[in-house]
Amino acid sequence: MLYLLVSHNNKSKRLEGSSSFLADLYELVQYSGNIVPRLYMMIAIGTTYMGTTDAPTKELMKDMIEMCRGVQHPIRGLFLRYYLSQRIKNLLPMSSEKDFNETVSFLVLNFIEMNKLWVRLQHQGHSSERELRHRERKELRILVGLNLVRLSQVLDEYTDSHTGSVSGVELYRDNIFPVITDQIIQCRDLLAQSYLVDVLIQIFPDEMHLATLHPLLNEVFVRLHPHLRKSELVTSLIDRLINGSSEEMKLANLFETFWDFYLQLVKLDSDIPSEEHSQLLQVFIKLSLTFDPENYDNLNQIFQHASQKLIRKDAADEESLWVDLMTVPVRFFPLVIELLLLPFFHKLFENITSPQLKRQLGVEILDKLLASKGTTYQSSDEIDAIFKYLQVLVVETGSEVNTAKDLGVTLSIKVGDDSMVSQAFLDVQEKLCKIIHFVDGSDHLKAVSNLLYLRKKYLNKNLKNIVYTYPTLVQRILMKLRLGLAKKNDDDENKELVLTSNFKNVAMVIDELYQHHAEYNAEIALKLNVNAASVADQMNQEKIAYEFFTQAFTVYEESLSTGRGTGLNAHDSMGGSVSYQLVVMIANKLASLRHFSRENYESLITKNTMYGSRLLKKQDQCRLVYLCGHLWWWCELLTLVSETMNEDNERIEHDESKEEAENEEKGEDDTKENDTKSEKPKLYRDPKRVLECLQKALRIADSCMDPYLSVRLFVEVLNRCLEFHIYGNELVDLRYINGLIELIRTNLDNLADDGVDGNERQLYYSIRAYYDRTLHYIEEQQYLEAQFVGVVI
Amino acid sequence: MSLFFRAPLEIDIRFDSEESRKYVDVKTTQGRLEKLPIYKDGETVKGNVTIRTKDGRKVDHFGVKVQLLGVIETNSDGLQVSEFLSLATELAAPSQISRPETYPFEFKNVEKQYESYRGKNARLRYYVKVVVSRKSASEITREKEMWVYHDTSEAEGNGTSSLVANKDKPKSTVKMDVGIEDCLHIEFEYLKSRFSLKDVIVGRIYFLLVRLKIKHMELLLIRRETVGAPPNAITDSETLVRFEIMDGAPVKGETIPIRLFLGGFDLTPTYRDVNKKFSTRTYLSLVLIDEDARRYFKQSEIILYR
Repeated sequence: MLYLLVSHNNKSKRLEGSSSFLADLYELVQYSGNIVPRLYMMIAIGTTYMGTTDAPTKELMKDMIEMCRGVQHPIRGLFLRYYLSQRIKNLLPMSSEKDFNETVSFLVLNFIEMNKLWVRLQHQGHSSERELRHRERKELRILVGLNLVRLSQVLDEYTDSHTGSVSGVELYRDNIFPVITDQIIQCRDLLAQSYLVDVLIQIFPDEMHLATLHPLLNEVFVRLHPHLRKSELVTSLIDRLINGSSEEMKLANLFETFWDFYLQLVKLDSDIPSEEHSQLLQVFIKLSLTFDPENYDNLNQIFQHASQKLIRKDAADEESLWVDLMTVPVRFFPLVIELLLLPFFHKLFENITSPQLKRQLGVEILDKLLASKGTTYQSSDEIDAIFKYLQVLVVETGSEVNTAKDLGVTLSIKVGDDSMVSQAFLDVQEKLCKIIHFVDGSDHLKAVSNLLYLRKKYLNKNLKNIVYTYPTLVQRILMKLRLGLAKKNDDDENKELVLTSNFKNVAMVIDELYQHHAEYNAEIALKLNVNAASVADQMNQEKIAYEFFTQAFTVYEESLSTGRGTGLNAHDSMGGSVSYQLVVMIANKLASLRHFSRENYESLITKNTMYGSRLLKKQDQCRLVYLCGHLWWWCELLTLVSETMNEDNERIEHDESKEEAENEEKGEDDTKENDTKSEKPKLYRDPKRVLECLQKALRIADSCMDPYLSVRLFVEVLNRCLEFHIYGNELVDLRYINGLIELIRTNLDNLADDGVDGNERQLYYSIRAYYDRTLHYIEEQQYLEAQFVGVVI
Repeated sequence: MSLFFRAPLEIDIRFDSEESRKYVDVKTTQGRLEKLPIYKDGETVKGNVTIRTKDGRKVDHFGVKVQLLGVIETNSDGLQVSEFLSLATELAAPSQISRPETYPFEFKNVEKQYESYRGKNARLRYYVKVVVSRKSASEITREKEMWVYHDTSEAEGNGTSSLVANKDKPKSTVKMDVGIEDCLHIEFEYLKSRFSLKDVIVGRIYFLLVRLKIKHMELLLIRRETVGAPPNAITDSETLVRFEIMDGAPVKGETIPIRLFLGGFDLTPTYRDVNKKFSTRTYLSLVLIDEDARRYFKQSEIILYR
């Protein structure tokens, strides 16, 4: 650097006079006995000299690069030549075409020599240090690569200046490309080839690659080191082309060119590892999708090749590669359904034997299908098209968590029958359910038959898993049925027939589910039955609805009446056992029925009330009985709701919330006789049975051994009484209410004295507060609405 | 020197136009640099001699004479001096010197057959010697050396060397094929074998086979001085230039360029049998040094001329 500085100073001196100062200096430094410093000095001075006017630029340039041959030590040589190219980069002659050619040959020569040195570095030193050499070479590669970068820049400049008679592209094709690639091939070095070809691909502009694409593929790539992973190079080339994707490229038959290359490659080297095939084909797919997205033939061609030539039966461990190959188009294809229809895509899919991989691919397809919003599957053909890929998710789910393999890494979830499944499995099942929602038809009834087709052909192939998919299927069928038949005229002769047969199918589906999952998932069957009943009622099909209810009761009695699950806090009216919840749910559905004969209805509600009174726990019995009281006293609020056909079938639980709503809205009850229901001009009301229910509830509450719970239930019944009073049940009169209040007060007073310790005090206060609120409400109503006048507070 | 200071006379020799004359730097045997004026063959040697007495004393003498001498001193077997040139002129007749006296002298168109040379065992000198003869004491002398170059010498020898092997063109290009069987095979080529002292040696080395682990390659210029006749000849070699031309190991097919500027080195033209006393020759030696520091070399003579 000192020399450099000195030479710069001298240069400025030179401008004043002594013309050949730098020339002399250039000669003088050549007396230096050691070659490396000599050459550095020559370059420092020579390049400075080149920067002056009238300097013999080209001669200097040639002389320096020629003399650099003296340094054959790889690392020193690399750095020396790198220094030369750095120093000279802004001084290269570019003014004429001749200049330019010399510049190019200078750069090419430097590149060739540097590459030789770089390759030779590998063979230096002891063989045990081979790895070290390799690392060193990797670190030094940029020195070699920069020559190509410089060439590319020079070409750019040339193209911009328009000095020459030939274009930059032609020049690259005819003068630069052959020399460079020849050197790359000749060096027969793995690292050099992979790095340099990559650099070549990255730094020269697209149009140059287009001009040399054919020779690059068919003459260069195929002659590279046999162990070189050509797929990486092809990938980066194609990525490059894709990112550039100019118009002219669309015109070029890129895919054919690459495909020919691939066939040639396969012909020349039959031992290409499968990874390579897979990688190559993957980028071809990308290429085809980018430049010719409508052309499915290319893809089919690829899959045909893969399924016929590449997949070997005995190489299961390679299958993941083919799955990768298939995943690429699934991810990038705009219309995945078109892809699924390609015959060889399916062939390839069929060839994969590992269920796990098939599943993986199935999930990819599933995700993609779900992502393409608005697509529906209208025919059995379309269902076949997608489900031949998805069936693996239904059949070979791999739901069992193998603890030995997973070592507990996978999050597992316990399902009903104590077996463990993974979250991933549940996610997949959920996605399948989503797909079921995309199954449609030209009309609603067609959709129903498509859904049934789907179930028969695919879903019921693994009975273990129908528990996940059938609920969705049934709900979808019910929805379609309701929509489909609501539009038909009532006088349609076929309607009855169609309805009956379809509901029978629904019953069959639910029954199938129940048959296989009675032990742990009977609730689902019950809920589905009740929902189906509700829909049937809305379609004015009393007989069918009745059957569904009967079925629901059967399920209840067979599997659910034993009351698993407990509401932990007996004082919480929201809680209760599973059985309690189910009976409440049935009661809810019963309350919304509107097309039943009195006889059938009473038979159903009586049965339901009976179930209620037979529950295991006192508090459950009591609450159910007073709730069932409502079944004998229709309220117009519910009627209005049931008239709108769009009621959501899935609203099952939490009837309490509805009741509270009723409690609060009871002020509106003066509209009650305005009901316009055509078939039943009068709402079904039976005050006597209501009273009986309340009495029964009181009796059960009274028989409670826990005095606190007993009083609490009394207060709850009192609230119901107030409600029925407002509804206008004359049997629940003021006297009755007064009696009840009196009873509660007495009981509360008894409790007020003894309970002293914390927990019981708490309970007492909470009941007391509840009771006080109730009384306060009555008082308020007396004052505001003139109701309950005569109730003694 | 101590003798000189004790001498009662001070003698000063001056050549004419000493200021404008060219000088050459020559190394003395002690290693110091000495500036000597340059004369050519046939050139007149002309100047003045000034003699002063010290402290104003009077000195008697038997005469003052000035000589131009050309001698060859060899050190082959004890110092031997042989004169090949001796010219003398009387400057003053015997008398007494009491104040400074200046005497001009001139040797016209002196033929100086050889060039001056200072080597290890041989020296060829030209000098002017002033002798003041005295009656009682020894004579008082003073010498002043000059350096003689010949203008251009078409030189002795006609440009070839018997040591050059496989010589293609006797005219100029030197091309050699050398090697160690199955180890190394190189071909080297110089554009010529005769060089002027200001010339550049240009050539290239082509590696045909490399199995040695070469570390670097040097070019040496060796001066070989031979004194005496063949049976008792003493030869002394001195490496004048060591010039690295390659760093690292080449592979087969590499060509290494050679370029060595001679002008900056202190080289001696090729002298052959100067007055049958001594010769100097220059050899170009190509040396390859391998990783175990073994040296492989090939020497060939080059003819240098002024």
